[in-house]
Amino acid sequence: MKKVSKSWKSFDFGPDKISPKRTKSPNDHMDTFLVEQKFIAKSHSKDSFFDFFSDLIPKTTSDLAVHSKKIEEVKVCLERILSYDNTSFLVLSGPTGCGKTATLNVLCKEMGVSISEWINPIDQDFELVRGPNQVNRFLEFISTESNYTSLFEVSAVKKIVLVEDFPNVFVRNNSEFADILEECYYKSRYPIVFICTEVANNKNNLMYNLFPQEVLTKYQITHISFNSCAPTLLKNCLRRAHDLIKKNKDYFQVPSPDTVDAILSSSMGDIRCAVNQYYFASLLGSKEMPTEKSFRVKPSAKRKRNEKSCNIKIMAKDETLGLFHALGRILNPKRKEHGKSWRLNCDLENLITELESQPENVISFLFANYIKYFGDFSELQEASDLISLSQKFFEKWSETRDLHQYPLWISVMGLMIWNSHKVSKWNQIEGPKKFKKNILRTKETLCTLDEFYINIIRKNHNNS
Amino acid sequence: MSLLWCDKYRPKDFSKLDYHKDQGMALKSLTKDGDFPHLLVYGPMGAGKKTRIMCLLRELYGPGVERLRSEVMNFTTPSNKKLEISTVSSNYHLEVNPSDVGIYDRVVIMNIIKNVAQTQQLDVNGQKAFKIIVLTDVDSLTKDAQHALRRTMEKYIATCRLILCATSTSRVIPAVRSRCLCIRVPAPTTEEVVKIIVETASSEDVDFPKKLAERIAVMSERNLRRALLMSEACKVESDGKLTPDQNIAEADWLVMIRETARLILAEQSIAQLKKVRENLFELICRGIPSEIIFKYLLDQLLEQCQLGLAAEILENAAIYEHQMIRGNKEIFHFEAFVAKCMYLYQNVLEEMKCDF
Repeated sequence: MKKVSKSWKSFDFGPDKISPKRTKSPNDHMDTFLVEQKFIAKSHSKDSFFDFFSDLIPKTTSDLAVHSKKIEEVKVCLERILSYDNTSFLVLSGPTGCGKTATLNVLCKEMGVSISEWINPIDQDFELVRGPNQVNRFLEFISTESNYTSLFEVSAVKKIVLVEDFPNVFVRNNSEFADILEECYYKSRYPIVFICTEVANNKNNLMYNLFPQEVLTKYQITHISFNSCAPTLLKNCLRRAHDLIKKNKDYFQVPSPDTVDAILSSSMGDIRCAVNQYYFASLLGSKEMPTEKSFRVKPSAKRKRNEKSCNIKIMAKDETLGLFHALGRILNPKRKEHGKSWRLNCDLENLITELESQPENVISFLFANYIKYFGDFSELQEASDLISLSQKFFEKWSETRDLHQYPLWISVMGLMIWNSHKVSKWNQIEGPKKFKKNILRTKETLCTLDEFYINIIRKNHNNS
Repeated sequence: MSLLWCDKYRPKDFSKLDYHKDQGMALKSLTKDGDFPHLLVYGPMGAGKKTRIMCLLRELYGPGVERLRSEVMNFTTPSNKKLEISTVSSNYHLEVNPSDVGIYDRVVIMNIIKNVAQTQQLDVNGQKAFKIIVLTDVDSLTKDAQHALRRTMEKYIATCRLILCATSTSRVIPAVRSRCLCIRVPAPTTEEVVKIIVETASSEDVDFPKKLAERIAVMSERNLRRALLMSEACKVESDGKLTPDQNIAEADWLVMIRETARLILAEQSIAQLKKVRENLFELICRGIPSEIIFKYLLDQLLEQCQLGLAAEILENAAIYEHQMIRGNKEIFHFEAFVAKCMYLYQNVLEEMKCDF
């Protein structure tokens, strides 16, 4: 559950061989680990096994697979918070494997700033000994220990505190975190950087839960959000890996360009995932990776697409769909021939699971937009019939959510199956109409149906 | 601001009622002992349900019940959503329409009844031992709320009485129905409506032509409140001179529904469906109850469509209306119905073309 070794923390680039330096804290808490991160440019001697991952760790900003503007933004921000006297916070957020931690590490190294990072202690003894609880330790770390410079640093003038591994309590208990922020705001001397991974599910989204807007403004927290890695940058990154592999042909084989393409397309902008796959593909003796050719996209005159796009069958990252992406799939259903009949070319199960958390919202969205995507009236009529049917499940008084996936199934399938003459032009997705019934209640007998007459009478009274 | 006719001449006493006099007397004798069971008053709109309820309250508490004040109550749902609902109350009773807050009506019902029921009357001898809560539009309450109602009805019978007001009992759960004395208030006959219009007008010193009153009575569908409002609207529009064949203004929402029906039959296409959808959205936003929109839309469609489709349209209307009442999001069902009608109509038109 909780991991403490350096290898865990830097699994950005897989297991590496640098053992973390643990400075024993001035106080005698054995299990609070203060990991001083050091970048040791490793000169590999002939006898030592070549370490793919440690060599691949970006050492300069140009190695980073992050957009240069973004790096600049983080840099400017770091400089600013370091120049302040009192504590200031910085929050980096973004999807997994987009280079948040790597960017910070590289920048700190360039600027000569040391990082001291909080890592959740493994406290197997905890149940027996009943030591101070995790939150207290976290607080202690952040407010006290981080104020001392490391004994191993020669002259670390500047230092930042990094929190990436949030104590688990905060996931459930957000208010406690706010208290701690409050305390740190006054106590801590060094700037604190938080790194939050963004996830689709709001329930686990630390960024959303721990740093709501009011907290951000209260403590003047700078928030920099990262996007997932762009394909070109990802390609550059793999090229670096490629060069490394070429230099060490004794240990590795060079993967075929096809495989590289497949890796690129299936890693969904996650560098960590891409590098791991690449590593796997280049191991000596491994065969060509099983790839899955996806539907051939006909090269149209307008858009140049890759003639084939293939995905790695195994080890690929799960595809995550945003709401709008999913809506697009439903509203523009694709078919594939299946003998004389046809089937929907879509993984319906996945699509539905993706949308299950908000069925009512999805159906409202579908309803607001589906008309534009139909070309044939009789089909539209059938689809609207099914959407109407699906609403039966959202009975006004039922708050049980178990049933709610069925209306989703009905309406999604209804729309996808009946839509054959799909309109291929670009349509803007509209949000569902929000309307509020305006009902007046006054002392007099009023009924919305009779308002018209009342208005006539009142108007004439006012005129005369 | 002067009072509307329908408010000004509303009977305040059972003896002043214009029709259903026997029923009035029965209600009067019901309260003779100063106590009565929970009531469920139902009947079509504008038939005088509220009038009878107010008469009953007056009979019990005296003229004090007419000193009304409206206030906004605040509630918080278990999920921390803030609700606001406007209520009308006097010292003795409280009137509220819980369906104003949609699916949160259960919270409103439980809280209001608790609030009212837990405060005991100070002077038991001088006043009645109970207060009265009038709940309107009970038929549009969610099932949850109705079940909550049945529980609270029993629990607080010592300190409060409920008067429920509904258009029809079909959507009130049997458990609630059986706990109440059901009183049906039928709509007045056309003759009664005519008589009331003419009498009301004469006490306002207006000479109201009988022919016009008859037309109004028919047009208002025996909805007395609407009939009186229509008469007054006619009066103010005619500059003092009423003629038997005067134009009676038609409510704007009715005009809009007719227009919508025309749109449906004029063209059957996807673009047209979009227009219809916008029209329906507007009607719903105006606060027109969806059952009424459905009813008039169907009427208009049947009237305007001459192709012998009546049976099929009716069949579909029955299906979608039922779905609409069971589920939520009226607009979905309206659209499905409209699309179906368009489709049927289009088919018939095409067949006719082939025949030629």
